[in-house]
Amino acid sequence: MIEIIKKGFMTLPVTAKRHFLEKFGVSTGGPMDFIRYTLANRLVGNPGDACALEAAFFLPGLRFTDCRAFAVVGEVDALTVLHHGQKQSLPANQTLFVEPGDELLSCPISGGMRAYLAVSGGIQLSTLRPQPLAEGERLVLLPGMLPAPRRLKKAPIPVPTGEAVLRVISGTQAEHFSENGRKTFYGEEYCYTPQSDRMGIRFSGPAISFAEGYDGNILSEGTMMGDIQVPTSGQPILLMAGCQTSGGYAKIAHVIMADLPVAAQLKPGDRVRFREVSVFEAQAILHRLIRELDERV
Amino acid sequence: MNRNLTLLPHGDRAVDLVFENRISPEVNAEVQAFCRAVIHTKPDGILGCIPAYRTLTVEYDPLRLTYGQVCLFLRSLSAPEAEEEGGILVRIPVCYGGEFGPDLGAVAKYAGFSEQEIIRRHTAPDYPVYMLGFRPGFPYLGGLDPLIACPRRAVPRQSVEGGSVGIAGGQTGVYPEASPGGWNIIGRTPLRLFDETSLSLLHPGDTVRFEAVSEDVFWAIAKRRRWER
Repeated sequence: MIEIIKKGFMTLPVTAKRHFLEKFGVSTGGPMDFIRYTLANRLVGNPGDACALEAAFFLPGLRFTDCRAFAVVGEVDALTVLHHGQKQSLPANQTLFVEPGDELLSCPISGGMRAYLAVSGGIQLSTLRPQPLAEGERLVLLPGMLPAPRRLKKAPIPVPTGEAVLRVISGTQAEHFSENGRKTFYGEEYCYTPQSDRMGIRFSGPAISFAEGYDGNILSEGTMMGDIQVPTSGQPILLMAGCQTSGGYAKIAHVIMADLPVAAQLKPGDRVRFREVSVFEAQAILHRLIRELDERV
Repeated sequence: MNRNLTLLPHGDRAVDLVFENRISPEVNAEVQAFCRAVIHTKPDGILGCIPAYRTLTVEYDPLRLTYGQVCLFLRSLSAPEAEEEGGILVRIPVCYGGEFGPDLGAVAKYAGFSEQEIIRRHTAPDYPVYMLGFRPGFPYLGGLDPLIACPRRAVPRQSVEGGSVGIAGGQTGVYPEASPGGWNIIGRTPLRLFDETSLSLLHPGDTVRFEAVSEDVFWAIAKRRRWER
């Protein structure tokens, strides 16, 4: 078991396991940054879809009640673990071992927005829709063998620092936008606003104009992480891991899977540009990225 | 394969099957039938399916399947018979206007009717449930009186209360829980539309009838939801 001593800013149990209940409107959920989530699980020998913690801005403070391995993957300068009352400074991005009573102290995430904490065995999830952790809450862990210690050979892909390019595929309603509107979208910079969360990133920037006879409304249809919706206000919204399963705003583009971890690490004030690629290119980029991940751990 | 069907890439890991662009029970029955066929055949690498009014979004694992392979699979599906599913009539009590329906006035003004007339026209039809989506258990209903249709709000609200009944374009629906949203809210029901054990109160193929109730009745029903507290 792990007990939450400090919840951090927002810490959420996440799993990449699929439930196939989207047709009842149940959000797919899952990690915002699948790369760091996957690496954290690998460092503790977990299956690729084990439930781990996703922390934003701050790591949570935790107390462990049994012998476990854990790993934090993210931009964290150093982890502080209380072992028999003694403070130990330990690095992120590698397997660490704890004994009953050991505590991980809360600390800020120094780069990007999100870091992932995986525990060997994985967290037992009792709900389809996990809620942010509360202080005092106890998380049950699944049984698991202690893994051989490992560390990331290289840092994961860098987090954006102030600006990023997100590669996209032309949207299923691209023709609902005027030529000028599409030029605006692909040519201008958009700023990450604080009204963003796991459901979606709201960007602000030059308004995107619609083609003659269209506005932001469409007959509602299936939506997924990566979709960029444009309501009639003309300001794009990038749907993220907690997004709804359907929506009624026109989609100008879809961020490619390989760049979703970049979007997940953006912070308020960061600026992005969008660049179009083909589905074929996007899938080749993803294959390359996964091969690189396999070289890291 | 149906001749009115188009396949579109939905990003780099989904395909949209697009049927005729209209809200109709016939078109929607085709969507539901294809959804069942995909789930029934479910080859390795297909991760999810979202049926909507006139589209079916099929999500795949791009590390295992290419876009072309998924299109081939979908084209190879023979359109199965749309089977009649025995839906039920669900009566949903709604307290209209006031604090529960902050946009009732705006909808009335847009439609050129009194608020009472909007309520009468909203409670008149039997609405078919076309799809669930947006939030767990959220029904997308057909059959809204076109005279009370009203465009979505230009800027969505950051938070809409659970149970809120809304109109957006030619659609009407109920928010199962508090969430952001752009629909015009005309009232609220005390019923709960989703929980994790029984999943969704409404299923595609059901029929919904709204019934206007007073605030007293609303609270009387709401108090009985002991499981809520």
